[in-house]
Amino acid sequence: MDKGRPQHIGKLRNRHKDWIFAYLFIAPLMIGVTTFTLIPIAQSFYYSFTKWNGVQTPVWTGFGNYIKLLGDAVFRQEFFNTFCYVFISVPVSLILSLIVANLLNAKIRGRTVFRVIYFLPNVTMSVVVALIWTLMFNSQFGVINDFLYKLFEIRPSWLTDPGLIMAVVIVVSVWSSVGYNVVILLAGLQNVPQNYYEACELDGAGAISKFVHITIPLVSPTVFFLTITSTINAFNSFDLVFMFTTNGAGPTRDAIRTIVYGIYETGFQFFEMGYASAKAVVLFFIIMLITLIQFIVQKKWVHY
Amino acid sequence: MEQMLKNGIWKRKAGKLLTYACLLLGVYVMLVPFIWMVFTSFKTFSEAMRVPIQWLPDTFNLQNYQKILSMNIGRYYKNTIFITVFITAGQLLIGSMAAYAFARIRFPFRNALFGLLLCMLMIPSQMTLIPKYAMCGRLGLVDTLWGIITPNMFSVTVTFFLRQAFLSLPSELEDAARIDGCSRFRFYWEIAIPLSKSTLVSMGILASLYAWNDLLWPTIVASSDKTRVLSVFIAAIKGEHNNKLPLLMAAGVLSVLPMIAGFIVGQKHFVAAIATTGIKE
Amino acid sequence: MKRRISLLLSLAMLLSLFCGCQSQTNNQNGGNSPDKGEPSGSGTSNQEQVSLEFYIWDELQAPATQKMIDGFCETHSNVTIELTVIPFDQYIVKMQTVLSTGTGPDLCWINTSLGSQYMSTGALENLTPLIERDGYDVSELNQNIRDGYTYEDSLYAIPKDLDTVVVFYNKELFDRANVEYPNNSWTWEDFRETAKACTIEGTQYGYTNNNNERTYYSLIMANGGSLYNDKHTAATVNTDVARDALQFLCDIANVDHSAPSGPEAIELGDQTLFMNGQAALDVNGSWVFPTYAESLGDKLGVAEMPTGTSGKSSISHGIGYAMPAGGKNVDITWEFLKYLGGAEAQAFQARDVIPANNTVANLWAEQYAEYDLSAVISSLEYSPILPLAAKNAASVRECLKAAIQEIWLGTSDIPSALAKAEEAMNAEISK
Repeated sequence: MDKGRPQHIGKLRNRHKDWIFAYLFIAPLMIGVTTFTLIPIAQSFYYSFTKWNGVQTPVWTGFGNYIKLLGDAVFRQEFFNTFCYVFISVPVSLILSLIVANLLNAKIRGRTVFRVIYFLPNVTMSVVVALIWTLMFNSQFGVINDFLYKLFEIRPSWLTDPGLIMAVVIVVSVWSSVGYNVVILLAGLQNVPQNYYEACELDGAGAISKFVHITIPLVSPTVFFLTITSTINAFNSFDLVFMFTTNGAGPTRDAIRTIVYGIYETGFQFFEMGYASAKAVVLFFIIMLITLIQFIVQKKWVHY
Repeated sequence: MEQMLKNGIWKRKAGKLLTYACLLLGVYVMLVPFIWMVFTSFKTFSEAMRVPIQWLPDTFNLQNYQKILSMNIGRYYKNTIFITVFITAGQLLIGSMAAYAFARIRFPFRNALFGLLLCMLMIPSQMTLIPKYAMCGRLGLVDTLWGIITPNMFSVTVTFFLRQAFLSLPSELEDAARIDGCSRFRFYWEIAIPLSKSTLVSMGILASLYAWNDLLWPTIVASSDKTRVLSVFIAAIKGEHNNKLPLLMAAGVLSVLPMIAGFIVGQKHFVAAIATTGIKE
Repeated sequence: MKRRISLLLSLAMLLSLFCGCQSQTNNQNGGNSPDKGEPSGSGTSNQEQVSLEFYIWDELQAPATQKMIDGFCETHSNVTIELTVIPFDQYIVKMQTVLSTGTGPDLCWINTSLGSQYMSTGALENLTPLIERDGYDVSELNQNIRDGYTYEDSLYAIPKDLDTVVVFYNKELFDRANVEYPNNSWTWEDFRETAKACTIEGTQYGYTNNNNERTYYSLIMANGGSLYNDKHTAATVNTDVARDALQFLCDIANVDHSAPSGPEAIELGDQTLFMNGQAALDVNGSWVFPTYAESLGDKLGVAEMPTGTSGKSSISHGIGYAMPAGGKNVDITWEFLKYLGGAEAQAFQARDVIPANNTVANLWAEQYAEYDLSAVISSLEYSPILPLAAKNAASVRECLKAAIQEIWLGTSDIPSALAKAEEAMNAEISK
């Protein structure tokens, strides 16, 4: 009791020392993020309220750009495509990754090799990924159509048909994201105690029932984390879409134009920087909203 | 009874077989594009366009590789390695410092600042392109390799994962060390960092993959020949030899090889690291 | 957990907005100071060391461009010029970025599409006052290309090179089908018949059916049509001439089957089929000649464009050297520009492209003496500059491209696609 006071004061002094230390340690990151992200973002916010072609001085137009967005058919298309892309590619990729991770978690030979192979697409530049796949999907001399032709005598024009190109983009994005998800999920699975499975086996449960009743609930925090990050990444992915838009204008491009592509096109090809910034701001809020919703919904299915 | 046991064994064997079958199917899907790329890189133009397709080239000719190798590619490799090393080191050092503070010290506005950082993850990069470039212009970084490196040294993702790793260190450890008179800095540098080695390695892998493969920013900030990196080089030859697929594939193979080699070496730590991280509260 | 994080997020949002406002003001102050500091550092007398930046997009032309730089620096020892090659896909982004931050190069390549944007927004230095001051004679430079870089009677770029659209043919495939090589007085009907005659099913196509916009531009103009009105302030693509022209081109593929289908052709890109010796005829820009010559050798032939109902027509285009406005070294850059327009510099590029300087334009054909390139030279006489809208050229052009793609893919019929295109183009122009 009599020791209490001095200790308290000492603690306080220590705490202040800790504060200084902490601020010093986060300073480099905070300065960097402020300089290269926060300030640029603030500027983009400002541009979104102006008409600016990137060369002359921006002209303040208030909410003009945002009002224009509401009536813009192209933006509606971009909006729709973005959601289509995100809400198909992310779940498909996660489900496939869960299955693969679950298979790899069993005691099998060559796990390392499998893991490396599944991760390979993540190691590859997106330019190269797109190149490989344009070659694979070529309607005449591509591997995929060669296969389809032998089986069904069909040669779909994957890369030019507006009805198919989105499927191509989604396939490629799933292909390149599965490996990363698998690695993260495997890590989550390793924390699941093996005796849970043994207990379940004693009850006579099959592989699928084990997967549904033990694996999924136990890795749900990992799945949640992956859902958040892959959704954000999918909303922001540019390279892949860009690489596939080179197959001509019009309907083909319209079928895969996403908001991010729209930002690029409006700002850098049609020189409407202000309008492009408005699109970017809207995208930012969409992502934030979706993330918030995910945080709210997670209570229902994530088990910590 | 014996029958049941036999059944069980059979079931287990069939299950294992099915597992392998599924995994191998996956491997096939993952690998075929790469194999196709490698084979194509040895083909001539007309071989690559043959219908019906032919897997192997008539002869493995090295023409495409010779042509790529004659293109100053040594310098692009050097530049790419340079930026990759510094971006990775920067992200790890700066990220681990901040992560340590966020994980193990209570200070005012800690959660608010960390939440702010997480918000940064949601920003589309095109949105910041022009202001970021303007900033680099003011700092005199345009057309230098440092212009590619500097803005990329601050990674929220790395900070996030390292914070998780530092959170998982038992607090008794630090208390004990502190009682022995170990300073915060010494604890960070001599205990926390070595104990989180595998997280650092895996974040290092992710950071270097990002640095190696990023295209948009390097083209914008430093695209002259002396500061050109591999991704920009690939994009450039794609622009000029749009239809020479074998040549492009050769370039692709050359650009991917170092990273694949690097990953195979580092992958052991990778999974171990993420396992210990545990994406939990 | 949930509540805490959502609270955190909203807090962070607020904070980011707050920080944003503050840094905004800081940043604008910061942005001004370097400009204020500049005058003291400027003033380029001839004795001072000057370094110029020069952006181009074609790697293949970098060696020739370097020769021009060396040629200039020989007589201007105080000048160093740094050449930067930026891949074309990224060039526009880079230009947009540097111009909007006032850090543009001293000198850059532009095409007419970029030019039309930059000229009207004052992003480029007006060259006419400098031309008048020095009495520089621009008449040596190709008139058509100069037209492309003229805005409100002022010239904004020095023409670098020029190209035109011609017909390429593969002699081997003609021989195989036992068809006579095209002569220069042929009509578009002859073209169609030749393509038909050269087609051998399963082996070779008569025509590449490439989706190059200059093919249908040329055909429309040869038949007396146009893409825009006189002042280029309205699109005129919804006409009988345009509809017939596109129908004609589609029929070559869809009725005669002498060319690959639209989707296939789009996928292959505009050179692959011909380079690979699978099609007898191709309509393409003269710029592909070196590439074709390399892959086809002496099998390659070049013919003039066929005659339409109102004569021959082709399209020309050319890159220009331009000076972004507000540069620090206007005078010395202008000296370099004058050199670039002159015969000596223009001659360096003769192996790659046709020089825009009339006095050395013939050097290009001389470089390839083993080929008969007279078709290209005579084609220049009926090749007006690529037509572009007077305003928002890039997005207007996209509207037409989109319509053509719909026609090629068969997702829309020609009349409605063109009607839609004209409407969209006019909407873009009047934006």
